[in-house]
Amino acid sequence: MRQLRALFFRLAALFRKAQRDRDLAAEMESHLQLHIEDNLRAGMTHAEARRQALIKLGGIEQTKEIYRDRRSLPFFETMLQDFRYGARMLRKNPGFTCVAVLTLALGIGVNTAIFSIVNGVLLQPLPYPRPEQLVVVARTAPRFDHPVPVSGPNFLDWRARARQFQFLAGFDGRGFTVMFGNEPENILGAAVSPNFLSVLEVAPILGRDFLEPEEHTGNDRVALITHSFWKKRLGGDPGWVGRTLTINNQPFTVVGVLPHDFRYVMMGDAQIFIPLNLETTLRGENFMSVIGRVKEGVSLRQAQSEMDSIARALEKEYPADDAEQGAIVIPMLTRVGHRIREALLIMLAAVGLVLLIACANVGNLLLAQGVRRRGEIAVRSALGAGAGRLLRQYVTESVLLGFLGCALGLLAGHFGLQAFRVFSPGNVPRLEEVQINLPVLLFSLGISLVATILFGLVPASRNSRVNLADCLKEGSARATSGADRGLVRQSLVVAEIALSLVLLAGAGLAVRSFIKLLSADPGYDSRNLLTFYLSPPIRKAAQAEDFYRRVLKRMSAIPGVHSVAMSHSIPPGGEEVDGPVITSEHPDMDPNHAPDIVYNPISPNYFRTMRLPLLAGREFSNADVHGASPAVILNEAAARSLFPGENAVGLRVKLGADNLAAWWTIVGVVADERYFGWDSDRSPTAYLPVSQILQDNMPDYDAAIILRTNSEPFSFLPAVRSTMTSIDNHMGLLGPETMEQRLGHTFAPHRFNMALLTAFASLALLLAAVGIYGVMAQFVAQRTHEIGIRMALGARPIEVVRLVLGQGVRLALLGLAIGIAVAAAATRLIRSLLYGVTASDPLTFVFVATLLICVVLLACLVPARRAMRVDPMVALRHE
Amino acid sequence: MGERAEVWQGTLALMVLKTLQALRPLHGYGIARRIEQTSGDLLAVNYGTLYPALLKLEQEGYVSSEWGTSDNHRKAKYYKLTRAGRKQLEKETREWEQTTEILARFLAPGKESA
Repeated sequence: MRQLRALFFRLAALFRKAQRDRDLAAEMESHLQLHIEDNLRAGMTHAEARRQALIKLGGIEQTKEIYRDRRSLPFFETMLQDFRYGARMLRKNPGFTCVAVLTLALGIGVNTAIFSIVNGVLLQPLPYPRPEQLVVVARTAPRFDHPVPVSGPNFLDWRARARQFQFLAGFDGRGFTVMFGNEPENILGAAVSPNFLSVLEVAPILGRDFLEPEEHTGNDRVALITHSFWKKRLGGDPGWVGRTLTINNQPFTVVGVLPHDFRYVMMGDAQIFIPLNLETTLRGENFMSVIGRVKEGVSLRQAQSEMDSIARALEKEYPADDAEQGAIVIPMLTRVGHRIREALLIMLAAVGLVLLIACANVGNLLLAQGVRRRGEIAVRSALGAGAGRLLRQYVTESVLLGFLGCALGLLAGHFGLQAFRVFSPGNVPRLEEVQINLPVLLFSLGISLVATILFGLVPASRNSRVNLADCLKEGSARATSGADRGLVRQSLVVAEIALSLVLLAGAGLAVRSFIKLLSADPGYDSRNLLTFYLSPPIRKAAQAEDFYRRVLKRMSAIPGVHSVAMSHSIPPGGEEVDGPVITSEHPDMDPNHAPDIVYNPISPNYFRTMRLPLLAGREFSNADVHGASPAVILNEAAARSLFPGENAVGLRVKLGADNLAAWWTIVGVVADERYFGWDSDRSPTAYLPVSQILQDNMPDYDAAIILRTNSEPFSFLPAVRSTMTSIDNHMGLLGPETMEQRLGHTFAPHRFNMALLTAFASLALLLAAVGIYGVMAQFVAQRTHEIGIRMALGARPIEVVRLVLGQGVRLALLGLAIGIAVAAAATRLIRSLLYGVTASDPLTFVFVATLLICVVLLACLVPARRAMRVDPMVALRHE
Repeated sequence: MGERAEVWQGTLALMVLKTLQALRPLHGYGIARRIEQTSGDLLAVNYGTLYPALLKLEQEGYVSSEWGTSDNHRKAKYYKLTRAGRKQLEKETREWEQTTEILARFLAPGKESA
């Protein structure tokens, strides 16, 4: 205790030193005077009295020195001294300090921002109790290399048989039309099993959870709403629990409001939840996802082996639908980020490179600083400062720089994160959970520390080793001094150039991909198309047929509308349905090993509306109705892969796993349209006449409506809305968008990736340019004398410029060679972000290499001009 | 700091505390003189070492200091014993007595050693 108290006082004594020193001096003085007075009384002369008093005291200064050592903590005092001295040096060189701190702050800032996202999306536990028990259970099938949706009956069997799970719940994301007064509006939501909230261990803050019987017809008109929907759309009135909301033209009773911080991580924008009624769904109809909570202490492997045996049992029981269908248990945390993981890790690697370049730059600056401070260091070591003491001084200064860089970097990271939120194309789940929290702070501190070691250690050890004799000779041996230090600096610049090239190559490939994507022909004419979805509350095929016939007829009567079509999904990336296809040439093929094809039910004038060229055969007509011979139109990709080298028209295919499925006759072949834009090229597609596939009691009768207009599509929206109201005044248009907007959505994540990579690469390029400028400027400064002699001996300015540029280009070429070798290996890792270019695209590499050389030359130009203007007289007199 | 200094420092502290217990608040010079006198001038105190010792005692909370005026109207810093100092003095006195007693037994011409 006493030691602690003493330590505290000694720490406190680090401050207000002047006051304490005055106090001590006064005490010493009074001591001396008292002693002198005594001595005088004893009969000494004044001089003798003072001398004796001083001897007895042991010397004023020595006493003060011992006293000071006891008063405070000498080690800390030296450190504080170093800090103060370092701070003074930094203040005295504001240019150096600004460049170094800003460079570090940029490097640390981008790392902080990107890591906070990686942490929030991929690492941070899910925002539910005991999140490690949460899993997603999906279906596997031989035709797919990734987990796929599940059918209702299979899910119900899983739920009934699984013992290792506390709960299993189904989830089906949906768009709802909700009536606000007389205004229909589209709200995203989902149909979920009644125990959905139990899986997540979340309870409503108002009202109640779903009850088990509410997944059955007759009880299923109930809804749970999110807190923000309740606050923003319903005014936050607690009386809403028990009231009725009109969803998809049906009355639903609001039974509960979810907590304000609740968000379903797999679908962050879902606002309304209704019970998932699976009574009429078919075993072969895979549309939903399944989440679950494994029992306490049950491992992923145990859960997986149970699901394996359930899937094997179902295979035997329902061979028609479930043959070779498996089930896979995936941790929910893994599943949430699976789409974005690779892109995020690539970004993290990119900012890591930026930080390395920043470190090289600051290291370079410190080395240059060291050259300028040789005089000071020489004086200090001549006065007795050991190498250790000087090293400590340099390390302290580096730490100070690192600390400033970290502080500013955190600020930059904060703003970087804000910018990311604003510009993010909405494909990052859990983004609202991302924040600069403790793990992120620790990460930033950690990388600052590593950065400090990287940029500070080499310069510190080099700068503190000063050869006094060299320094004295400096004046006369200007041209040759510091050659070895120059080598270190040049290696740093070579490294910077190499790293920049890697980043530039990555960004260049992303840009090229994006340009390819933008200029990629979607196959149809995407201009002047207005699209939206309809979700009529219909249960019968005849009603649906009648409804859509009226819609198409009334919409095409709108002035300026060329044609109107309906289709199940809108390219690109609509809710496609796919399944196996069997050709008449191999009628006995096992459906589980048959090729996969997208089914798209369409109305007859779909191709005319989309302006998708017919390549062979005919389009659908109004004669292709229920009861007529089943007709199908294939796209080129399907025709070519199923019937290579043959004319497909007139041949037959069987669609679907169902053995009883009819044979469909191919009546035409159309050009390919890109469904997925980036991710895959041309999907084999089978277009079917809507009226031939409509059946009673389908899960929904949703469809897309596509209008070809003669001018800006959005200007038709009011007319389309009022037409819709005149058909059914409760029917809202779901997600009205132009086709070009829809294409934009698929491009947006890629545009964003490209923009980020380009931003990081530009940052790297800028830093590298600053770095090479610094080295070349010093090169010229050190050789002023030599250049002066050369010019005095008759060298022309152009030769001097060549000397400087030659040096710069040599460094650049070395950096390029290393960079290209590294980039060729590294860009392979970003293949998944690329479209239409190979990872070693020569054009990109040549372009970025040229760009880099140009920047290097520009950076050398200023020092070169300075060298050219050297006045031989001045340079020689400089001695 | 060698071992000898440690011992010396310790005894000096005890002497300071004892001196302050006997007298009213005293300045550094006074304490030094008093210690010399008490030791019968056998001990030559290097006055300079007194001040770090006083500082240490003050940091540990055994003494407190205050500026005051001496008998002949000179400004001086006066030290006095705190309550914790009084306790510490008792404790250290006991320990010291014990040590000397043990040492005395060792040094006395004993029966055991025979």
